[in-house]
Amino acid sequence: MRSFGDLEARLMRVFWEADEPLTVHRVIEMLDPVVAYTTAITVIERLRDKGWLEREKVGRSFRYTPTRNESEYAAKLMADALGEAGDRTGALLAFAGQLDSDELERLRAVLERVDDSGHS
Amino acid sequence: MTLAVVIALLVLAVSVAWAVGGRLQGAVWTRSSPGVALFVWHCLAVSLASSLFAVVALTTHDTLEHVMLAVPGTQKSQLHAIYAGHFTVGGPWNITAVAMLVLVLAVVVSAVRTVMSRPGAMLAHHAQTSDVVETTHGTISVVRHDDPFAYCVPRRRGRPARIFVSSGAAARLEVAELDSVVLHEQAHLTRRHHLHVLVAEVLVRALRPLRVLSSYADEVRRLVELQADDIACRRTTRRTLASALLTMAAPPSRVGLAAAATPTGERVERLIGAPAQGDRFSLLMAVLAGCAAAAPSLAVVTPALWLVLQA
Repeated sequence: MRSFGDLEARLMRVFWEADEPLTVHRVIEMLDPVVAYTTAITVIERLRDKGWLEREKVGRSFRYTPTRNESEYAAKLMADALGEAGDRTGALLAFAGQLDSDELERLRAVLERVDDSGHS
Repeated sequence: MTLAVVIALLVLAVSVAWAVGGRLQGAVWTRSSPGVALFVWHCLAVSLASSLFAVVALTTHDTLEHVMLAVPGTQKSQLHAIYAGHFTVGGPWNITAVAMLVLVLAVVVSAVRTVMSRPGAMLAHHAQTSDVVETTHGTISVVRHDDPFAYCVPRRRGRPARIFVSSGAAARLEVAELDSVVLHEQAHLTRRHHLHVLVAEVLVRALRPLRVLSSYADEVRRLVELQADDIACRRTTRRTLASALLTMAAPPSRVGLAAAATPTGERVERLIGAPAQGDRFSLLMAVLAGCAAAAPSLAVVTPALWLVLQA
């Protein structure tokens, strides 16, 4: 079974690729594999609640547009998931945390003096 | 008898709390033996949790019994006979034990649910926008992102484990350095480090009001990184891994990717310093911690077993 997060990501990509406001029916046509209308509208509305989409009424239906581009979306997701703001849930193990520039320079200088066998 | 066991368990709990509250956190020997230190932390956490659980269970049992005996005409032997008749394991342990188990299960389930709520949207986005690339040590998924980062996701619900590396990291790292990053992440996966972190986060949340274990989860996160570094260094040089770490620790271009409290500085210094030797002290600590972990369960189970055997 695909998770909710999967569908969110797939829907967002449809919006970015379309480059124009889309109705729910148009989104479903562009999705592969197809999802049910009720599922699509639920997820789309949830994305709107989260601030990723906005809608305007054209005729009798709503058209949705993304509020941020893909790289902004990616950056926000990562800041939430791996950043200090997040609740550090999910037991994600990231390779390295950041160092401030002074610490980085100091350690780089030490590394320069170390030979390839790992002994200083 | 019960009072003696309760006092002994409280003494044990206080000693363990004293050990974890400062003595163990960041201790020098844990740097050279992260695997043993992980074992010790888990044992002490289990010891603390189970001794407190046993103390509460024992005192609840005795309090209940006193309340029931306050009813005129009630006798202790009668009371025990009634409960022993309804449940196969002896005495009015049963009500207390069942109530406590339900409580503990509720706390643990709620903690697991919180901890397991993974950043699904980010994982899905990365899974869909990444390219699968073969490296010397296995397959990785390269996510199109300028900032350097790498992380791994364990196997779950039939989906295979994956290692994600950003295109920014792949561009900055030399081939040998990228290989060392992959080896480090593979070590997390093969040693099931996610489970270590999960257990720690769950226990910390379950015992949050006590604050004694507050550093447990952070220490486990630190120790699994040190252990993964050690395992990676069996197939790469310490210098290569240290160099990769420094490249990856550079401040990001756009987002604040201040990834968790990972001890990056300590890891680099450890890699470029003299290789550490394991010592006897760490083994002694492991044995003591193992005894501390087993003691509360033994203290509760032994008298019950004795009763059962007598019957």
